[in-house]
Amino acid sequence: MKKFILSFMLFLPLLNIAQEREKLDKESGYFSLGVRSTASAFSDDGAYGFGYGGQFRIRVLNRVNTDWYMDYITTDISGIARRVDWHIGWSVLTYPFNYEMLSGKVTPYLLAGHCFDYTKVSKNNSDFYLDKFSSAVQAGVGAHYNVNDRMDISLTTQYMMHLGYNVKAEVFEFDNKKDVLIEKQAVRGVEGHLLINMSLNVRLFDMWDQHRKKKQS
Amino acid sequence: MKKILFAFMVLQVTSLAVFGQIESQQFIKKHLVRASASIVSGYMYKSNIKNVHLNGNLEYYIDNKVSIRGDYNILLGSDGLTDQYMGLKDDHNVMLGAVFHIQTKGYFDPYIILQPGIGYTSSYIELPSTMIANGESNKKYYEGVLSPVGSAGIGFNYYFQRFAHLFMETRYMYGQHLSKAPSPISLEELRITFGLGFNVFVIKDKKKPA
Repeated sequence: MKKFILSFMLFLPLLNIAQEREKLDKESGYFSLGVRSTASAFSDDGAYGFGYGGQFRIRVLNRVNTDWYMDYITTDISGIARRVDWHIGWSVLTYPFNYEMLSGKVTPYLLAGHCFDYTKVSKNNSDFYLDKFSSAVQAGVGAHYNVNDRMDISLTTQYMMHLGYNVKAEVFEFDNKKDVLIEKQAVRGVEGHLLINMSLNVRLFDMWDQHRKKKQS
Repeated sequence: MKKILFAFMVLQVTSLAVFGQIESQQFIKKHLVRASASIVSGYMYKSNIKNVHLNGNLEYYIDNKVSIRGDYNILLGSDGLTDQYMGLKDDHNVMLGAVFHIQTKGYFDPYIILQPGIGYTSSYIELPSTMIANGESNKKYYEGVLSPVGSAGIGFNYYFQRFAHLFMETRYMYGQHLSKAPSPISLEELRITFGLGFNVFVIKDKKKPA
């Protein structure tokens, strides 16, 4: 009897996988395309940025989605300098709770990923600037609001941590006049910014084409 | 003359009768495509700049309640300077987003629009003649930059005819012009527009068997 219970317990996870396989073709395979607005906050120079971008998503499994994105963010630094960030990267989204795209429902998710970035900080009314190419890692939480079975609005909050070098801008006052010190530094500890994305996404087609095949069979 | 007047009245009454019959059903539905072009009046309240834009847009209804819409705006003219004597030379933008339609039982189509986008903006500084040396031009232009923009608005369409509609829309634009110029320009703007648009159903509904 003990042997039976032990072997049953060992096979339990496999039963779960079998059930997951049956559901596999419900959500996986979809290709979505979207646009997004990004707000950047709590960067090391304390300024707030605003950006525009786009992304496509490939849903690899019921509970796993991938997000491939590009962002262009501009930030005003006290009216005397400006920062431009380009991000191109990817994230993996996982749905810990519900995963079906049902009209009017909210689907929360966790995400983590990596990106390549280019940053340029320039002084206004001057030709001086410093720039850098580096990469970053990001992680956060978000949720899709499914407007219907083909479209969602997603809100994501993630922290992006830069690796390698960072370009910093420090605003100071001298003789009652504002000025800025721009310098390139190696990243020490945690340096990055909080990104809040709002995106609109439309499901375009099923990449695996499994739904059509299933119907045919 | 009386006959013409009578015929006109009959036509009016007939059209109203047809209108009344269809009024119980919502006109907009999936696969409707609409497009329009109009003149937009804008006011940048933070920068104290008044603008006139030309807008063109194309919209496709993916659902009875939701549509995808792309807009293109060209700045035709801009009047006013910021406190730092900055003015806008270019402010053209492309936007793509979603429109959420409030369901009604007729031809009236109120909606809420959300559109992120990107703009091409350029500026100039125009110093007063008291601040510059004699003989120098008092206008200096700066090269254009890409500026992310976002917008949200409300409006309505009124489908008064099979292939045409009237519309009115007001929206809030958000963005900042950050360039080589000495100071930035806030692109926050209130825009209002109205006009005539055209519409067609690209895929007709299948007739249900009797």
